[in-house]
Amino acid sequence: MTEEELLAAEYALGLLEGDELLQARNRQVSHEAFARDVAAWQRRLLPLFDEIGPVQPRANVWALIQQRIAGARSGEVHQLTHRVRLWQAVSAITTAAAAAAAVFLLQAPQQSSQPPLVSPAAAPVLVASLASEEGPTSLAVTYAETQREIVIAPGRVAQAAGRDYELWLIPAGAAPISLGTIAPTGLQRRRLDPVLALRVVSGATIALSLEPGGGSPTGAPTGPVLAAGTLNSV
Amino acid sequence: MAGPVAPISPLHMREQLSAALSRVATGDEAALKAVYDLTSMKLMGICIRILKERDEAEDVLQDVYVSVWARADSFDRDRSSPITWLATIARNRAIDRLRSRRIPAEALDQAAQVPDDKPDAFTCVTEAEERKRLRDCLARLEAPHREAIRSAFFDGLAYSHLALRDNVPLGTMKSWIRRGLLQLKGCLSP
Repeated sequence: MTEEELLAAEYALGLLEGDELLQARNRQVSHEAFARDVAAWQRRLLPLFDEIGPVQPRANVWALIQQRIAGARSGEVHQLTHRVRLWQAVSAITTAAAAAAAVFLLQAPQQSSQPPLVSPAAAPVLVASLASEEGPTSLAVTYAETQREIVIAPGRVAQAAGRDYELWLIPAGAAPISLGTIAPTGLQRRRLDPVLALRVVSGATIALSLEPGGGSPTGAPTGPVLAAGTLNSV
Repeated sequence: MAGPVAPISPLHMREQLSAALSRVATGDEAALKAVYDLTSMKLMGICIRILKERDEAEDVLQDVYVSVWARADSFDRDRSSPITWLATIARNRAIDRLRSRRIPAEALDQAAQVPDDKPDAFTCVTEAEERKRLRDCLARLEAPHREAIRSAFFDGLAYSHLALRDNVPLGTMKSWIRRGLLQLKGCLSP
């Protein structure tokens, strides 16, 4: 068994924590062969589930699920699930764009201070869903242009002791700009300064990276990019 | 409410679930209810086994089905069976919840004390033959290796928790489990 496959087994069993866990999650999303190894181990271990006896959930659980689905159907979340699907279709492109942006940044770190050349988009509200196929990390970002306010709704972001999640705006062809660190749970709002707000336009990429406590020490992403998505007008 | 489920074979269950999940992907709520009726007792068993606490387990169970609702179209039937997919989502969600509460020491102590109610054959998701094969292969492992792998699976404990609980160095725990996994793979797929 290769080291890679052993890692897949450890990940499938849930033995990993912290950095190792985040790296394995990244790998599962980005490496097809690794994802297959993980699935193969999940399949091998499946009979163990049959040692666990069934337990009847209380009767109100289904009603609660229905309520949450109804909320999702009528509201923004439903649109977000479509955005997630859209994101899945373009994930390869955005990941490549994020990687290209990172390379760009390494080569020309001064570029990020260039004045914005883009005009504000016509749409007053932009939405980005940050997710990955297996859903280890998901996050919704909404930008209300009139209020210059960005709303961050972590869907599923793992706790990472001693480290911080940092959100990045990556305008097309430009280096990532920090939108600050975020908490892994709870709705968060940020008001952007007018200059930064001009760069939040449809088509820009929003990415989440894991950074040392307090955020990236360099002003550019230093940790793994856990999720990325494209801003689109609603 | 989830009525009692008529006993069905793992194969029949797989077919029903596959069909229902395809309909869930199109936004069919009745299909999600069908998935819930077929699997909620099983998945609740998994959540409560890991979390040892009913309220939290039910909370995670809700998350699981809401997530199935949103992600049914990402279910990859070529890579995974529906029950592997669902059981894995439930287990991973429960483990995430467990880790987010930072596992108090007493939970580690309780880990071994949850009664193992044996499911009857009708609620099994795998065939008797594959259960026997895995059981036989696990039985060949050295006892500490086997127990560590089982605790990781059933209690959602990571390397560091297992090392702490068994009072062995982290490196020892890792090599136990890694050796066990190697041997297990060899035995299951010679």
